Amino acid sequence: MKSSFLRRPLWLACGLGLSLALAACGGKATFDVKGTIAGLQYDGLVLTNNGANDLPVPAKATSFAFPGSIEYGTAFSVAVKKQPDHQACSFGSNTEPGGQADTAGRQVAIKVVISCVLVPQDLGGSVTGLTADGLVLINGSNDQIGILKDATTYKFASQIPYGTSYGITVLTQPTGLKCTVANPIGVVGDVPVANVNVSCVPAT
Amino acid sequence: MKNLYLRSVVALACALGLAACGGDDKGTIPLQGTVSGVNKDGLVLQNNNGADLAVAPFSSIFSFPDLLNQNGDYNVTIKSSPPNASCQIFNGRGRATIYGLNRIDVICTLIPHNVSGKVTGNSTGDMVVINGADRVTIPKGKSDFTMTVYGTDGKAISGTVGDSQPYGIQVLTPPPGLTCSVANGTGTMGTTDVTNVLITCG
Repeated sequence: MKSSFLRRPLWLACGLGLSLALAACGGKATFDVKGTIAGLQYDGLVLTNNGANDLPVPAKATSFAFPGSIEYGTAFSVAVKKQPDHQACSFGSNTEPGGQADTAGRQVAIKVVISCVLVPQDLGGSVTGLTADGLVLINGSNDQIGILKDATTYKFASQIPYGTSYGITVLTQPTGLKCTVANPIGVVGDVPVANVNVSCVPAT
Repeated sequence: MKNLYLRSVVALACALGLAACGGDDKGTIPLQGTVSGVNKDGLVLQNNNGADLAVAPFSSIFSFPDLLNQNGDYNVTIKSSPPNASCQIFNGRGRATIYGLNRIDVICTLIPHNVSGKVTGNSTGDMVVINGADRVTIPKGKSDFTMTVYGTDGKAISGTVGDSQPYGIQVLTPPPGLTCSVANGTGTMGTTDVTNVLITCG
């Protein structure tokens, strides 16, 4: 009897305290679903909140905000509906402030962090006539690959981002062979570069 | 007697073994960190001005043989860098705790050099020359070029090539209506600038 009598004011106090604390912590009852964007260079990005409310984001934008606002306790979930041209955008971790999905009010303000990078592509091609070891190809000073004998294809270890130039040359010829490179120069587009073909013949 | 002799030999061997492995056999915390950018001999580290620790080329970590005691102070410094690089240490100084130590990074940068040369026959317009991802535009009629791009403060922003790194200069876009060839365009950077690239257009 005594304990249940005690318990009631305790609950009351707790409830009162909690609502006061919430009011103090939240301040405003509504929240803008917004955030920052880093590295966005091209048009085409479309974001959604909770699978709706399409929000196109123009090239070079550094922030975004969905129109309207949501109330304390409302769940939001920002997603990429369409990636921008030539780029891939991703979110900060969901388990940290800046994540793409959360409940309004758990942080003082909603601040979703998005970062965009140029889509990287593979760079390589076919190899014919490579009957000896020792061939080394370079892509300028950016990458280097040693190709073993009897290889029929190769691919540089580093992918290269959209819009980046590449220029492949033979740094070291294989023993007793002379290799030439077809289509060695270009600028990376939206598909992998797979036509930098190497053909080797006996050196004369 | 014989047994005792044997025993002391074993004890001595054991002590030597400990000395070789730990030195201070009370330490439990490894003094180690990351290394990047080393492709030649010459990087030497010290802890508290103690014994030299030579870091081999292409290492990604360094590790001192002596373990640290809990609450042991360490101060890792660079005694010398490889001849072709300049090295910096980050978080080299601190105190070991039961949680280990703050991450120590040794970051070496290969000494940068310029790649430059001459151009002939570029009479019809501008041209674009590349070294892989680095691009420069050579204006119509200009007879020399450098891949290095300088900022307003006169410092190189891009286009330099590190000591011992390869380079391959090519023409991405020739002047309108012309074709160009490059001589001495591919090589490996030495200890001085490359100045002999020759681009001929016609």
